[in-house]
Amino acid sequence: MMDARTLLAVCGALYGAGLGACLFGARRESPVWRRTGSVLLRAGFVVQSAGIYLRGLERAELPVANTFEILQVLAWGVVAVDILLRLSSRVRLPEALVCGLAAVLSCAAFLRTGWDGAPSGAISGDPWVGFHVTSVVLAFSFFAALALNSLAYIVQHAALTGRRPGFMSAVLPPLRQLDQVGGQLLGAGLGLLSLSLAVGFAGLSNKGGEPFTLKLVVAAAVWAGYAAVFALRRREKLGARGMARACLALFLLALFSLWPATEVRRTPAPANGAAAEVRP
Amino acid sequence: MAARLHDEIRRLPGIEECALLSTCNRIELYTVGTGDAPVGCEVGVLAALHQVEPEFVARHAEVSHGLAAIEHLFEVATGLDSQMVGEAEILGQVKASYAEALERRATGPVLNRVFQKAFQAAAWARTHTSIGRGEVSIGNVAVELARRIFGELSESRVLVLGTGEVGEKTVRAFVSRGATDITVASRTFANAHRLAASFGGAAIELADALRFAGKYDIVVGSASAPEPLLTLPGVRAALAARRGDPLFLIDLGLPRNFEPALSELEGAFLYNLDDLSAIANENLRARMAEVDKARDGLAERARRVWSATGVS
Repeated sequence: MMDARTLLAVCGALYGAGLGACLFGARRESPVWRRTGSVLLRAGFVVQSAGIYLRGLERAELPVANTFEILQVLAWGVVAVDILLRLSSRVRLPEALVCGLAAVLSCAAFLRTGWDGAPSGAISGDPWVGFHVTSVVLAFSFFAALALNSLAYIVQHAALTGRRPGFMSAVLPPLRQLDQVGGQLLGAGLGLLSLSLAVGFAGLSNKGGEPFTLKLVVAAAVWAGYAAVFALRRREKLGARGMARACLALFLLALFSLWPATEVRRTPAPANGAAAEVRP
Repeated sequence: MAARLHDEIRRLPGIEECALLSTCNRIELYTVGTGDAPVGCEVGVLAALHQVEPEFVARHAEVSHGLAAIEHLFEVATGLDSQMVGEAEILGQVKASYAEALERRATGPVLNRVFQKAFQAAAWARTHTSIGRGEVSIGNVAVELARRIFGELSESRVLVLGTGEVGEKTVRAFVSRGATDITVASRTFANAHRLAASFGGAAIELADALRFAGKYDIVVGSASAPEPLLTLPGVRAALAARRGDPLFLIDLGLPRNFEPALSELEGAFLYNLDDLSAIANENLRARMAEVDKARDGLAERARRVWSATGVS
């Protein structure tokens, strides 16, 4: 039987193939190829779900303990949000974009072997820490889907204002829908991150007060960025295009912020399971 | 007339099958004979039916036989022979004509096969070439753009300023694609009322329309006005009232009904007649570039159908 890492590699390949099929189908306007891309995306999701589950069993902890696992769960979350959107609304995020981001995230996880460290037991030691880390990663999945939605908005907006709406514009969802879904994704991601931060801060203070670690500060900074965009949009101080640009930029920053977050866990720290991973 | 024509043609000696295609700019008669029928005998029937001299019809008719006739039908069904190359409506008309001939038992094994293959050939051309890609009329281009901004048009509110011909055609395109909430405003209220009534819309005074422009998603300007009807301050206020929802402005007037500077406003999408024409022409050029490819594929299919009929 395949191990979790192999399954996750297969899933990266499926997402990559899905991206190829979607692009080829869009170029040739072939519904067959587009459907093939869609099937490959779903197949990748199923394989990734199995891989992440198996990974949890292999390591006996939530599979969000290192960069490799976080990237995998992030990719899984993006596809999950896309499926959720399709089931709950009429909005369809362009599958080529979803496949592309999922492929990039799940393949990037394999770039450095160092990103897949040995199990620490840090997350399995405390359910609150597990909840905190998992909800942060899921919130980031919403932000990743929001980034895709924002990219689609920017491209569609540019095509329409440029008065030369070409092929790309025809395959993207309408602006109004993208704006509405963007607001919903932002609200959902922000809500999840708020909950996660509340649990994180409470967990730290209960455990004897390691001061704000870099991890929490970074997560709080990401939260503040998205919260500011949310508030400005609600007060109509920020237009739909401005929100799309801000959300795209914030996601790139948020993605980079995962590195300090995982680095913190690697540094030996006092027995404060909340934020420290002690390597064997 | 179609019923009479079917009956008359079938009564001709040596004619076994027939189907009539009649659209706004063409009458085509497809017949299958035993070889005993005199060439061009159908012309006489057409002339008698329209009470004109047979020579008159013969002078204006184009006659094709065998493979050329099948190729012609394939090209007609695909829209290659239409004034607007690649238009899709013609396929529906060909299907309706065939259905009528079938109902009257005017068709037989040859025409049934040829027409069925024509529908398949048209579907092939639409799938495998770009012959039907992009809209090529001003009204449909405007509708397509509106869809890219708002999605389903049934949920969009359309305001028409003026009762110009291009504006009317554009609104009809919106109505045909699902728009139901249409309001017409004109300096002459009676004109607005007349146009609105023709598609079940509402009519309002022009001054009111300009004041409440923000309540509409799509504003079509087709009035003859010396000064722009929609100006920067008015649209800025309209956009503020829309709370971030986009506003699609279609200026079909000459001189312009909307200030060009409106395009710089965040949330406003302004297209004038030249912009829409440019897109329509670009799409038409793209379709024309595909004509040869489509024609080759159709000819190949027509040859296969012709060989299968077994007629030499």
